[in-house]
Amino acid sequence: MSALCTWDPAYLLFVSDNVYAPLVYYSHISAFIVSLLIGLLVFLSNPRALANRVLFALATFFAMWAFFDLVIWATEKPSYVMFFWASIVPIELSIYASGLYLVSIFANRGKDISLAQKLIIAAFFVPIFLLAHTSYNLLGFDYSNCDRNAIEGPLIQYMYIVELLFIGWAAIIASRAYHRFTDRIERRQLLLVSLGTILMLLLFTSGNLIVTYFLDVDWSYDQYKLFGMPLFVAFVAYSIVKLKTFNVKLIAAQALVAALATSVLSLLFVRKIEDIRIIAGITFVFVCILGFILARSVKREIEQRERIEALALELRETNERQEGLLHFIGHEVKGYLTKASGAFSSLVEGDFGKLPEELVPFVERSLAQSRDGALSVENILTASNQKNGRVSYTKAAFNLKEVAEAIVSKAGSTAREKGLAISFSADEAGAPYTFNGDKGKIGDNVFRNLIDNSVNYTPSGSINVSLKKENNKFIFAVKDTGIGINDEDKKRLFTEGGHGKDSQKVNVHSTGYGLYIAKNIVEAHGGTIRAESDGASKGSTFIVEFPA
Amino acid sequence: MVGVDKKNANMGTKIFFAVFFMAMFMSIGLTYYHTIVRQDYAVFTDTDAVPNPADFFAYLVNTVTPYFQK
Repeated sequence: MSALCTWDPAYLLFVSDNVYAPLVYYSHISAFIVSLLIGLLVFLSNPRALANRVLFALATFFAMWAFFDLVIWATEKPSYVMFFWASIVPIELSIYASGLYLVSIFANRGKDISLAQKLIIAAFFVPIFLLAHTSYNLLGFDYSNCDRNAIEGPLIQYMYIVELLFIGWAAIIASRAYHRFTDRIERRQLLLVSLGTILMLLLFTSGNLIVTYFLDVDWSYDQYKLFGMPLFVAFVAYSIVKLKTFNVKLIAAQALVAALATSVLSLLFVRKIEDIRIIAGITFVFVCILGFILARSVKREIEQRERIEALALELRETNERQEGLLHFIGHEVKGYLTKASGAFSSLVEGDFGKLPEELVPFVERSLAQSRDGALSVENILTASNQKNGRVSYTKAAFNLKEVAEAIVSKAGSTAREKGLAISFSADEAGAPYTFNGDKGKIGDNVFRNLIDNSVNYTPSGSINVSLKKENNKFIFAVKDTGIGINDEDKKRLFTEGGHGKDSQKVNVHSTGYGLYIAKNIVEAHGGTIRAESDGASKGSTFIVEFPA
Repeated sequence: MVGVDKKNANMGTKIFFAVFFMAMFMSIGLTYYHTIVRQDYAVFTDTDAVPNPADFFAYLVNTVTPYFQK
């Protein structure tokens, strides 16, 4: 009998005419690629998550199983049939162990199972690892016909029993956890994963058992059991990623496209025209279903995008109205504060006669507060204008040193009142410090802002303001011995309305716009601004660089 | 929530998986040696001599059932 068998030599182990069942390539290649792809996508989405790792292991074992099985179908060498058939046993049981492990993790709310549980599961592998190479696993090669089958021994019956045991174990764990869980989402997630896994494993085992015990060991029926796998892996993967902030739609679309591509790819391996008809029919149904799902998905995407665009437009209009209102209120408040400042200033300067002594400190404080208020409103309006690109700069050549010197001189009295030492130094080698820019904005909103900040945030010690020219840059620096800046605060220092965590405890008038405005002005002049500090209570240095 | 990072892979678990996979690879390696290198397996050429896996099951049922019928 054996001499009559003429087998086609397999190319790349799995391509040959020996594959007589029509759907083998179709089912195996799809299962191999889709399960591996889904496993990889889920694993890469969060490689450190235990559930993702276990699903990846399950998918990898399954892909290995599909490949080994394909080789068994295709190879012409009995020794290869024996090796791959015998080796598929530990791999097949690993699929079930991974499934049980996955369900246990979900039943354990994401926590790993104990080492003892792992050892119990592993104990079932011991006979398989020890006897896989012996005749207890495969009795021998069936040369009585040309089907190239191995004859399965009692170890494989043992494997089927363990498989059923693992399925039952997973079902009990899932059922107990389901009744224990009270959270609706948690229950739903457990249900999706355990149902998907258990059904997939049950389909797989029933395929083996039906062929062995009811179909007279005709393995051509075995090809059908793989069809459930890609869908079930997708089902499990979907439920894993569903409750996380992961792009489910993307993974679903990728899986669908991959499934479609592999379906077409597997057609290339089918050589008999009558088989092509069957596969083309299945592919057609598959394409219709996937096409419908994808088309619906795209339709939803378009609808959502249109809705987002409409909302964005509405939001922009609302923002513009709010900006207008803000400007109106800002200008009104600023107008009143300016008038109040003028009135208090007239009183202080004696335009209405000498004030009673007890009123002088009150009026002076009111004048200072009115000016601070007007400045705060001005800062907010400037920041808003900068954001909308409504700020214009009047650029002309001016001397940076003179501006810096004048501001230090002005800030000197406030600093000295607080008991701070303030100094200014300019490296003469860099002179003249002529710069082409908006003198008013650089002076008021950059230099003065930085020096005022240093005065406000330095309870004691000194402030050193310096100016130098280095590497074709004018470098203006304000160094103080103040409260310093921690790393967290550094990130939001130059943002709109960004405060340091404790900055308002030190300076209650801080609007959080000063440094944001300074940064915009510096950058509009082609410069950079940054802050350096070794941390809280260790002082800070603000450095502005302009191109020389 | 399931899926969030869990650092449960302690040393015991790491050793467990190392031993488990080593055993699996050794088992497959041994199978490779016996089947492909030495080709140490039986070959059945006579149809009547080929054992049917379903017979094991029947044997098991026939052996076990009488105990329950007593």
